[in-house]
Amino acid sequence: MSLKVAKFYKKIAFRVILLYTGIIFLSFLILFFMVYSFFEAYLDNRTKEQLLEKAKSYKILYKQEKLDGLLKQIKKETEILNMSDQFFKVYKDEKEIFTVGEFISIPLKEVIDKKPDYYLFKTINNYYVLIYKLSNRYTLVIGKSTFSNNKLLNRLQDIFFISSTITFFISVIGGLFLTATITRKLKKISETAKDISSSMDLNRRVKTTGSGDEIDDLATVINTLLDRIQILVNTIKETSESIAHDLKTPIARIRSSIENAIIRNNMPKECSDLLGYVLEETEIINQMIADLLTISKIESGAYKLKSEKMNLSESVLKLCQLFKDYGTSKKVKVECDIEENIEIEADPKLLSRAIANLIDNAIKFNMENGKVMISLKREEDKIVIQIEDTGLGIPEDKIDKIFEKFFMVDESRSVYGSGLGLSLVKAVIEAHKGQIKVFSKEGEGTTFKVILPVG
Amino acid sequence: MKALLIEDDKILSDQIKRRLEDLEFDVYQAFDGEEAVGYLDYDTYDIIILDLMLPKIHGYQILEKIKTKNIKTPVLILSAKSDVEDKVKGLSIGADDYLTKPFSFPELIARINALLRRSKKFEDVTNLKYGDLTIDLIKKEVRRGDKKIDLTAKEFDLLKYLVENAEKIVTRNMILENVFDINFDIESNIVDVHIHRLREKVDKKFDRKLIHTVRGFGYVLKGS
Repeated sequence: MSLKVAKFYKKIAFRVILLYTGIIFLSFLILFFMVYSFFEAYLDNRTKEQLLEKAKSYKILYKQEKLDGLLKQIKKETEILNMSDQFFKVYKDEKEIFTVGEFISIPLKEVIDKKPDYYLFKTINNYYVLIYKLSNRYTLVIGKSTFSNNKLLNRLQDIFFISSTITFFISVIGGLFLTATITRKLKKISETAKDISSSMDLNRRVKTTGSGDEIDDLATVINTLLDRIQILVNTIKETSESIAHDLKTPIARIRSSIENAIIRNNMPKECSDLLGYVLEETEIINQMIADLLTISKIESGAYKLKSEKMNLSESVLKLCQLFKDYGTSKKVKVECDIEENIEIEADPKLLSRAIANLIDNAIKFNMENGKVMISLKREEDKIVIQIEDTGLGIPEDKIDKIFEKFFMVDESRSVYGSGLGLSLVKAVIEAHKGQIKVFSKEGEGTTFKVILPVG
Repeated sequence: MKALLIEDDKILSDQIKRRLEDLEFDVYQAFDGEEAVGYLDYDTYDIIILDLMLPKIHGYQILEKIKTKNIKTPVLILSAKSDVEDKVKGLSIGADDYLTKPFSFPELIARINALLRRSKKFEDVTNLKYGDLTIDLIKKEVRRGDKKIDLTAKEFDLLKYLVENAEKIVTRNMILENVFDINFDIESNIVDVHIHRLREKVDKKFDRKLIHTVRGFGYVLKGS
């Protein structure tokens, strides 16, 4: 079984930080818009009120001192206060008769026939403009630059920008810190679990901290699971040992009795042939029991796989030569393409047996004048053994089942075999952390590809 | 020749005894660990055949006892366990060979003979002879009468092994292990194919056939 390292964007830390920063950032943004628009409205109102107040005071002045007095006052004010961000205009009907400051044409059509004291606010060219009717004929226009207001708002924007950047970093760091404490605990658990599953050392347990949090719960659950797996594996071990003993002893009795009968007694040939047949079948039963035990032990992890340095090239070459003659007798040509000096840490007997099973199948299920190609290659950090035949092939609907115990592609095929060969191959290859792939076309042939890691 | 047979299964023990007596062994049967220890104190033997799963005293402990007593008798372990671990453990404690149940008699006999031979010195053999069959081990030549027979290297090894064990039954497993150097189970009738090819060359053109099939066991090389 392979436990892949999660891609970084799938990691919990990344997701939590993303969510966490996202939410903080979004709320920050909403806050900013609220404050900004509040200030904008507030400043807008204030300016308008100021303008209106001023216009009203000018109106009073106009009433008391007439137009000349008003104009004098405006001039004086602008001279004293140097109000560069304001302008004043006075219109008689639609004609401009007085201007201080900016030259901007003001559309008066809307107000020309309105009554005195009517006023109207407009925004023209970055100016707040108040158009105020002093009397039926005279119109006062006061403009105030939006600049100072904008300056304030820009400053507000700057402050928000800087503080949001700071908040962003703080939230990322905070998120990292927060998730690190959680994922560190999780990582510890998953690393121990990975170790246990790859080494099959079922005496080990995941460390519990006793903190009582969810992660500690998880660790406890995993440990309970490991307890049960350990019990199960031990049961398999014990049962298979007792099966081994309890079944093999009677088989040994049968066998020795028949052998003695055949060897010692001068019985008719017909009789000894029959006993010989019984002996052969006994051996088949024995081999099937042994294979079943081996497979279930390997699958459950109860089988202690040997790890020896073996020269795979030599082993495969030996098998090639062994099967070449065998192939010839069945009119099947066996070709070998073996890269030299490929070494591997493996259980030599089991691995050789698995490869032998594949080669044997390739010859057994071949056609007359067929071919079997055996190749062994090293590809980067992998070792690839390929066994290709030009044989009968496996029907598409049966290809998924070939590794099942006791499965035979064609029950009526009169070929010797227990139906355990490929199950054993698969169990052995997977116990070596390898993969086995099969490609087949009915009537054209089958290719088995075994991929083993170098280490 | 005296053999101590330590095996708790009465039927199996009796069968082995019978077979060994045919080969002129005096067989002493022990059916549990205590009995075995008694026999070991009482006498010395040429070969000890020891089952591991024994009542009262386990086979390993008996093995340890044999070694601490400095008994030089070769020990052949019989066990129903086929785990590599057990094999390694048995051999490391001091057993000389290991046979997994169920075994076949030819295999048992071959191993016993090998163990008994181990202590004796081997003469250098350059020629093997059986009937009209001669094998020149140096020139790698095989003749029947004056007729030369051309064999491939593997066929030569196979015939040599059969002649070395002439008139004894050899099983397919023995051939795989000793001729083809295959020490794992193989689900194939590879041996039969090689024997068939050898027969074509050695026996086909001659009236007296040498290689015979023994149903249920394997093959034997004999004159009739």
